[in-house]
Amino acid sequence: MLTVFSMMRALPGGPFDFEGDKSLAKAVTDNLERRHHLDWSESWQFVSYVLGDDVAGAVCETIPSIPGCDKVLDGYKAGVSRGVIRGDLGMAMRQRGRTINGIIGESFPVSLQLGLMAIGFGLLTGIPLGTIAALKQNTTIDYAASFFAVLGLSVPSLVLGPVLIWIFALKLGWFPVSTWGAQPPFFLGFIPAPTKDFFMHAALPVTALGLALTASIARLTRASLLQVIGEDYIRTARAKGLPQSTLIVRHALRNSLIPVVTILGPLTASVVTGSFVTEFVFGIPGMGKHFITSINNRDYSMISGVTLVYALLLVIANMIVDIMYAWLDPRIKFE
Amino acid sequence: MGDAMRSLLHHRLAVSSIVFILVLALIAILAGLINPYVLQGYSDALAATNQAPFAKQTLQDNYARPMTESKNPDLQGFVYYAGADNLGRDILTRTIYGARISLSVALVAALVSLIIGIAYGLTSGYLGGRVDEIMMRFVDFLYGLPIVIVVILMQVYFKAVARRGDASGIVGVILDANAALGGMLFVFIAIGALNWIGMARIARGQTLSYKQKEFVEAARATGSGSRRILFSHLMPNILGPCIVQETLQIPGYILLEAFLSFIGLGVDAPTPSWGIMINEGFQALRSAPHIILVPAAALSLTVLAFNFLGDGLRDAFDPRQRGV
Repeated sequence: MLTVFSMMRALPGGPFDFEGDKSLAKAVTDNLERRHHLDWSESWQFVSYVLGDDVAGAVCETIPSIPGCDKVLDGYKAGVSRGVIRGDLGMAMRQRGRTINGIIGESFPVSLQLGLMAIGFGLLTGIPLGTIAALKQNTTIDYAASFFAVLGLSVPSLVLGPVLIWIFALKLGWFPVSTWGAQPPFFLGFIPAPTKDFFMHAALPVTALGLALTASIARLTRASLLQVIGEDYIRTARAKGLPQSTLIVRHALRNSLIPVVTILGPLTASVVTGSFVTEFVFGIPGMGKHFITSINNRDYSMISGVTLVYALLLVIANMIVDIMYAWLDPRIKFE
Repeated sequence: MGDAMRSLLHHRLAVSSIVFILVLALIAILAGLINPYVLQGYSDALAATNQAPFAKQTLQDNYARPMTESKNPDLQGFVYYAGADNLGRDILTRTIYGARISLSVALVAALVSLIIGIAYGLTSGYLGGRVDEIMMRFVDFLYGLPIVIVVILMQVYFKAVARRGDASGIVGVILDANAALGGMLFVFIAIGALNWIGMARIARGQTLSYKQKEFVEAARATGSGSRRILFSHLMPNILGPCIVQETLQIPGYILLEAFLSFIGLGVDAPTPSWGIMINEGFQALRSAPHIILVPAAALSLTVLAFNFLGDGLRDAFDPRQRGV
């Protein structure tokens, strides 16, 4: 997992130095480039990005004979980055005077709200749908649910988002077209006040993002429930005279949810990807929107900063899934 | 095989999907001959402007509604069946050409993934022991990477290199090839680069299980060399399951390409990817909702067809998983 982190970090050195093609006066461009150390050699840029400007400067003060040090000594005092290692992701190149930490600190809670609500939506709709389909196997309800699931997997959020906006926001006017209904400060850093405004704004993006999750969770729940229902212990429980509802909820469903938990890791990754599109489409000021904007602006320090946060997030999500997995299925033990 | 074929043909949705995909492929291949400009007899007017059909801009017709006639004097009487976009380009033509992008991504990414994955998995599984362990550790490492984010970063990097455009030698040749393909080459590389790992695992698992079978033992006993065992005994057996698995991945490739193009990291304008067209249509959603309609429907239907085909294939070849 640490390797993910270092792998990401290896990239920013490369794409840093292509900023010079915007039509600004040469002096302005030079100044900007100096501010972001784009005049340094790539390896020194990397040192400054990872360890900080002052470290790079200090090294060069002590041993000025290292190649590229003249530039470093020239500019490190004007520098701003304290280095990734001390939790500073540097300055945004295209949003003047804003630190990436500031931008992420502002937008991350919004993305987290959207992502968690989408996962919640997927679980709350997908599991019942899959259960009903499995219990009514080979009936019209089952076929309809399965068809809906394939449909949900096939219509991506970049199609679903605009379609939802067009129908429910523009034609029917039930929901707002875009933006997000919650303002900081948030409770515990990310829980917003549950106002009507917040839910009205969240309804469409959460549906656009969560429907694909609903589909895959429903498919998986159905398949694994069908398998569990065929097991011997279910027959025993039924022979014992347990009512159908207890049987399904307490005995069958709990075991059939184990595979569902395992795909929550990959699903988190797909929520992250989907949130790029959803936030862009709905104009939500989250991290995904900043990511897309920074890609189009070629704001390289921003791209690498946001990527780092995403990589970290996915690693944490995978760890949580692993822990939940072991908790649900006591047969699995960490070695 | 015969059974599987019959089972597949009984799967009504899968058969309709195959028909749909074949028709779409035919349309994509013949796009130059059957686009609306040619069919409505305007190929001469088009040739005079020296623009490709999908890039034919007619500024008098921007945001033209579906089923309206062109206001351009050169295109008098030309009907925009699906309307025109913000630059007055015929949406139907662009959607038809867009099928080329989506289908070639589906084909190339699937082939690349299949070839690399099978080669890797076969080698790893057949050699076994220490080599197998090291090769699989590497796959595990790649598995931990968030693929989409890696693909995005690769595309950011490729785009930056392509924009600088002053490369010579082998890099220059690659850049030229990429430009000739409208930016598709880098999309192929980015998508193909990591998606073989799942296939490698499956191929290895299959190889391991077949390696123990009597017929391999027999082949070895009669003095067949490694190459013969690998290619005439193991390969034909693992190919089927691998192809089935690969078909299930294709919708993901198509969606990934559309996603990349949507956020501006896919093919280069004016190449008409469905992702780019959806983005353009989304920008004008309020004033001209028809722009997004056709490409969005085309993308969804194509992905749906590949999903049904994959499910049908899996049901046919692996009846235990039926209905999953």
